Amino acid sequence: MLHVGSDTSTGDPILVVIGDLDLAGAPAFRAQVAEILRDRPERLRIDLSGSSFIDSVGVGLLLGVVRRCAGEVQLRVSPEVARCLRAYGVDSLMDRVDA
Amino acid sequence: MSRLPLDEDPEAVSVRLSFPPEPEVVVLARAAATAVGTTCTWLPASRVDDLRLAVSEAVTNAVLAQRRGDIDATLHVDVVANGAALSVVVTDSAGGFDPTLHLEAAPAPTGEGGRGLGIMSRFVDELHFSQTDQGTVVELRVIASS
Repeated sequence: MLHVGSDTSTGDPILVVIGDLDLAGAPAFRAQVAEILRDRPERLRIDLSGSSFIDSVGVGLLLGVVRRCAGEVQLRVSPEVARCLRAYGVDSLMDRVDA
Repeated sequence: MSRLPLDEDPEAVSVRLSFPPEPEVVVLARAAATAVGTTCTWLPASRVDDLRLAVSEAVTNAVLAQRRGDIDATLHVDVVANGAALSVVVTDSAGGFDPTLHLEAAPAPTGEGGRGLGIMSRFVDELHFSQTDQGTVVELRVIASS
């Protein structure tokens, strides 16, 4: 399940992902990201703190957002998703995770 | 403890899933592998997590391969475990492919694909590919340490 909101203080878009980010979630994720990026945001936050699983499809989706977004991409993740990201060894994503 | 091979052990826990090649079924395969994995007292929780990732990759590959070929045939996932090992076998009908081509090619650090096979080989003790007339059989096996 995906939910698009915005940061009330800055107006930056926030994409909230609830549930697994995998093959089944990919079409909805791509569609939401495409819509958000049309407005060329300076900053996009993707909130995966309500998700407990991401596989290589999800990693590819996140890398795609980073590549296509002209602005800054920040990630917020659950410990379970952090573990998955570490498993895939994608430093370029881990560097964007909020401490 | 000496145990019979998985396919001969009457006490083995087994689950068979059969489903169409739809993206939504990958979660079912993960759930089945995780459920069986948690019944294995010899398997630490962290290794169940590793197995879950590896199964997701194997089933995703199978679903995508059949969808690319527009093949509606049923996919099968067999999860079998006893006190000595846990095996997940993913059987597709998508024709074959050469896994060595994919295992030897490391993904680009920021590339969007190509990580699935690496995870599979890293996160299980044994990874076997075989070909049938219809497609590919992938076995992911986790073995109890002696």
